[in-house]
Amino acid sequence: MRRLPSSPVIAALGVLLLGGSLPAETGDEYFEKRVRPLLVQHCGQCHGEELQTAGINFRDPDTVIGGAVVSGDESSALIRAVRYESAIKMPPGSKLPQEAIETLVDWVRMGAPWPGYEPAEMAEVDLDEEAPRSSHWAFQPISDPPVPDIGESAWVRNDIDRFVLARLRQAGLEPAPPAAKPALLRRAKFDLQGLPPDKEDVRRLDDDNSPEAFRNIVDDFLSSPHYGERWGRHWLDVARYADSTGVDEDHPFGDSWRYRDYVVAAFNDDLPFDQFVREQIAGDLLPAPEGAPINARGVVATGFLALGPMALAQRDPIQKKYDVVDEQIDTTSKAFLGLTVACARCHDHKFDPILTSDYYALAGIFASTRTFDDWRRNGSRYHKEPLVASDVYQRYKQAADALERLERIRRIALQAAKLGYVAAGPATRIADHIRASAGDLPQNGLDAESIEWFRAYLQPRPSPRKHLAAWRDASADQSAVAAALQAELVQTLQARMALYEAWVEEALEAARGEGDQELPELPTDLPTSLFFGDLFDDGGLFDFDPGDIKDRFAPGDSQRIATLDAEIAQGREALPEEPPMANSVAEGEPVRQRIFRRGQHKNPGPIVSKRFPLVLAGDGQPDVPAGSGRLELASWIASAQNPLTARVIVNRVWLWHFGEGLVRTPNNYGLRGESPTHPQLLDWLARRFVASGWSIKALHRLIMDSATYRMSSAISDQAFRLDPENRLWSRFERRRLTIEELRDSYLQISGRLDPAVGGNTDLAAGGLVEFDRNNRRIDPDDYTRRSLYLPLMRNKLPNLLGLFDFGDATTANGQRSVTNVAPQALYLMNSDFAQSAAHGVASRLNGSGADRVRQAYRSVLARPPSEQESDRALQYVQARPDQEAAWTSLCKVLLASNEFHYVE
Amino acid sequence: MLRRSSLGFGSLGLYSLLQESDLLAEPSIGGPLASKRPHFAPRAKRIIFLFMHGGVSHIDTFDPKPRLDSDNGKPLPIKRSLTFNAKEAGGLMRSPWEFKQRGESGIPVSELFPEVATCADDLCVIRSMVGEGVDHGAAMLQLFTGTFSFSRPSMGAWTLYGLGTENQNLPGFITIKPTQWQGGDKLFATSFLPGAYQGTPIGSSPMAVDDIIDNPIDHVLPQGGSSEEQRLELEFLRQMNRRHADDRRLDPDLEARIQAFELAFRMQAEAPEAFDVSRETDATRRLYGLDEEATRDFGWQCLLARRLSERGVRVVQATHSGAEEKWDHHGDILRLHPIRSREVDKPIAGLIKDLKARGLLDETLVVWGSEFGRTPFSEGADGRDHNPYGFSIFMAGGGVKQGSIYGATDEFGYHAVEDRMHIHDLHATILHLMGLDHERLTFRYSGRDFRLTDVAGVVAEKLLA
Repeated sequence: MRRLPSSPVIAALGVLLLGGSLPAETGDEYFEKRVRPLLVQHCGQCHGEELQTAGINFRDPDTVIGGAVVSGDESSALIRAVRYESAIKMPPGSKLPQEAIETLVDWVRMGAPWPGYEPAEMAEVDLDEEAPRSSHWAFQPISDPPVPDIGESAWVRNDIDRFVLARLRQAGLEPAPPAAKPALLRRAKFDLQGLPPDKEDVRRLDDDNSPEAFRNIVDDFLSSPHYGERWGRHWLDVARYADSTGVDEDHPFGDSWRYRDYVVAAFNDDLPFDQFVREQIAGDLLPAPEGAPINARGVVATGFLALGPMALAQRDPIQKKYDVVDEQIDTTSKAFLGLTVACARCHDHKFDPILTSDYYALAGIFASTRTFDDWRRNGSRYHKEPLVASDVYQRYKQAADALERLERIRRIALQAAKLGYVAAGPATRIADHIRASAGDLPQNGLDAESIEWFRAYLQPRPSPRKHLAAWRDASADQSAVAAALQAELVQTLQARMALYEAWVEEALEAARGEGDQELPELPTDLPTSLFFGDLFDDGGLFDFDPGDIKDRFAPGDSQRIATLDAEIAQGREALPEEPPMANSVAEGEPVRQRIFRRGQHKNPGPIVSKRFPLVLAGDGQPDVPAGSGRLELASWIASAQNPLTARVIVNRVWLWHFGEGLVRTPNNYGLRGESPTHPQLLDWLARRFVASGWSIKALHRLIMDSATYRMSSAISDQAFRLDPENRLWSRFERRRLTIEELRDSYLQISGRLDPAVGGNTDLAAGGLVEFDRNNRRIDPDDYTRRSLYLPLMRNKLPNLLGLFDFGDATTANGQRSVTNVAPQALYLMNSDFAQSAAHGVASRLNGSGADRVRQAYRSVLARPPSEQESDRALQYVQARPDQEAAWTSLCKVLLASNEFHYVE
Repeated sequence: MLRRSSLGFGSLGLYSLLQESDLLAEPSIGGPLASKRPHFAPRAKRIIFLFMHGGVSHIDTFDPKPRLDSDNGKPLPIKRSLTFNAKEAGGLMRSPWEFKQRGESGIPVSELFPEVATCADDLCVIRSMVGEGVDHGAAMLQLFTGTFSFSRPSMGAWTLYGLGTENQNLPGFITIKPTQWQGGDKLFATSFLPGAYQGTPIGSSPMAVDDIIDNPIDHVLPQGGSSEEQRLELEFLRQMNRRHADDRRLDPDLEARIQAFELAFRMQAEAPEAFDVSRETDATRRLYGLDEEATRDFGWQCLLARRLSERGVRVVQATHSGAEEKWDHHGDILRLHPIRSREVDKPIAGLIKDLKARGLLDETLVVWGSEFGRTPFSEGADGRDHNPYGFSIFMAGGGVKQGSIYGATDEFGYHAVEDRMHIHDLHATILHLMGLDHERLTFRYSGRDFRLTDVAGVVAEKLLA
């Protein structure tokens, strides 16, 4: 299939025919006869199949057309390069003959015909393209299903149960009997707070025999701040929350904890979920609350986008930027829409009706958003936003900048003073020292250390220093050589010092003048020499801190530095308090996004305007009038009309209560995802949820009030046969504790839990920066706050978290895996943490014999032992010589037991 | 789904003890780490990967370039690709180290690796490695996980996922002194693969061996009490868990957790022996250079690698690194490269010879290399910059053509031009040698089948024995 003849070619041919000097071939022939041989001969060595420098391969039109060659455009990069008009001059070294250049120009003018080539995206990205139609269930509007009529049932407590029971009956199954009170209490407490029930909880439920008893307990658990810690952590899994950039250099974010606390508070305050969505995508663009100068909460909420993994050291800035854009698309689409949109970065989605153009239409939104402050530079910094009114921040910033300018001047003034000292003193005796080191001169009156330095320095080396060639030359006059080295050095020092001096004067004038004057640029071509470098760089004779020789400075220098010191002290004194900052995104330079063919930015295709995936949002979407489009994206996702958002979160909540979702692929509602086990229940819940004002807590109450939630984990013969995977909800699924539940319970039961909620875990200052043997910042074995607050350095996650299936805090995690492996067992038997927890429980037991055993069981398992259990435990303890160790061991076993680690 | 499989080495003595205590109700071991059948007959059963952190200069070690001698100091006549420190890029710089053809195969090795040179006939030197990371972090992520910018499972995790482990009493994937930065844990983590396939770190790179020897694996030693007491403790726990499980219909998770504790006990018994390098003869210890200050640390790593590998640990990584990259010589390369090569040369040669003498080299794939090579042009006065466009690694043992050279760089040693071996291709080849088809070793995650080699990777058939 040829792309030709398209109109520019016809036009070009027309011109050519009229002009009379035209190639007679067709475009294809022209290419084959003239252009291809030329490209192969002159360019193929570096841009061929073997070596594709800059991603260009002249055997593959995909890597050329639309990139270096824009058809019809005479200013294409290729043409400018072969004309030697741009910085890139091709072929390097020798320009092509004029005739060859003209052949290429003609070819580009003709529309760059290339036989057999039709750019893939040209076919796909018909900009008037129609929305792909898909009958896939998840893309249909949320239905309004009737509650199944199942007649009378004593089991049913609310409508959820009717949906569940209808399916169970179809399968010939009955629901499991209700869970016993203690089991239900334990289930609810872990479920809502991630902690085991305490004595008080047990007593309350025992005492309350009203039908409302469990409902009251649930309300109580929901109103505790620990509820947000547990459910916030669920969301943090989805938001791949961590405290550092990961990938390569793993820089701490510093203020990421504010986003964590925001999430916890959002759950505690039952922030309507649609608002929660809007804030996380575009909170910075939402109006500030009345009376507040800025929307601080909204700014913090965009940490959702800002706290992803990012490769700050990536050398290709565009790659760096678009890897972050990709990560943001991936997390946003998985978290809210349950879609794997990022698969369309390089090609149309293989399974779902998501187009490459859909991807780049979203990429345009995130690319117009600021995540880095200086993405074009090597070693970018992530963006931070002040959480105070902009004038307050400006005042601080000005003062801080002014101070920083003074400090910079001081550093250079110190350098100048140091050069001055060396130039006037030690440098004048270099020649003597050199000669002394060679034994040419006696060492009297010279500095022994310096002589030693020169002796080592002047040793022969495998790669000789050129500037010392004369010294090694036996025929040269050694004293003259040494003198010359000294003279050259003194000259360098003086010239350099003069430039520093001039700069300092100019800089001081700027710094002390009106307004915020930028300091002058420090000259980049400071006088230097190889000898100078050897003396002043690392390990050099004069490699010392100028601050150490202040007493030897010239009086003028000392005076100037003292004045600067005073000014700096004053500036520090007057510096307003540093305002709180947030890791957040902000609006960036607007980008007209091109499609990147095969995901490669070096291979740009046509421009796509910002919009949402056609299969969901349809065609005829309004243009984004101004700004990045994040606000529009947030509103579209958070809309009740979006067929996915409510379904996805309702399913997540179900999954976090029951261990599995109604859709068992919580991050994938595409064609490769699983279909819902109860599609009608899913839609019914989603509708109820939206109608309740997107209230997560109302959803908890609804679910936990159902008989479905209150079933026991017992499995009948029939259910074992007919519903082995519990897809019909014939019982409550037994589940293992998460690492947070495990760790927090151990701490609570042994009386060591620090229940403080929120705040900066502080990676940088005070107390917690100690490195343990594995170089990790905090040793979780010693840390007594809830696990939620363990700092999460992406590349140094505490071993413990990895050991118990925490995930890697790098991609949206909708459901943790559960493994049972030996190293976990080793941890529970032999870690300091397990040992001190067991010791903590044992040391709080009192009385003796069976009484003690009963207390141990109650504190760990929240139930008394059976008589038999009690006897066995006593036998176990009494058989061991060291009683204290024996009781600790008993407690450790109870803590390690399956009964403790599974919630039923 | 508890499958019977090999218990590996050295557990027989333990067996009688355990049977006595009824701790082994059934000698069946399953779970995610059970030994699995490869896709086809493997050439190697185990991998030892010796990683030189920072970037060994290939043109000063295994890829001689006469053109650099003749054009020393002249500007690079071809286009310079994206370079880490473009500002200081200088002219071509010859190698000051002499290359000699070694062994019967005549593979050239420079004087930086005199001991490895004596193993030349066992090596398959790949001179055409290509990666995409110009900075260490990206390059290392790609070398260890296939991608330079996303979170993906490490090569070791994929291998363990594909093959399980031969010895359930030790971790199946161990990494000795991994670096704590530039990829950090990602170099041995599982990403979306189940956590069971994660590498177990032994110390970390800035640590000295002396600080690791006593307690190499976390939590493997009993707290306070004796192992007899721990046995009783575990027996009590087992009975409690057994009764708990009996009250419930068979739940594979509860069963798996009971098994995990039993495995832990066996691991506890075997691990200290496996890590005890002092059990080796003096001759062996000398072979690895444990008696010399310069080679003691990496010698220990290599000797430990052999002990673990011979006990069935599927993947062992040993990293040569320190508080900073050991091989990243942007300046002063002439002084620093010899210091580094001295530290590893004898241990590496010792490992190859020792494996060979024990008849283990045939079934062990030894891979040696860096995240990239170094530039043929100088950086500053006397350094070389990062070069991912063409560099050398070598393999030995397990199914590779002995005494061979695969691929070539251009006349400057800048770009790989012949039989280019992208890191994806290297991964495909390593998996192939292990009996795994890289296109079939997939894991379904988020609706997509992922591979170590993403959508690329070609097995380098020519280097297979």
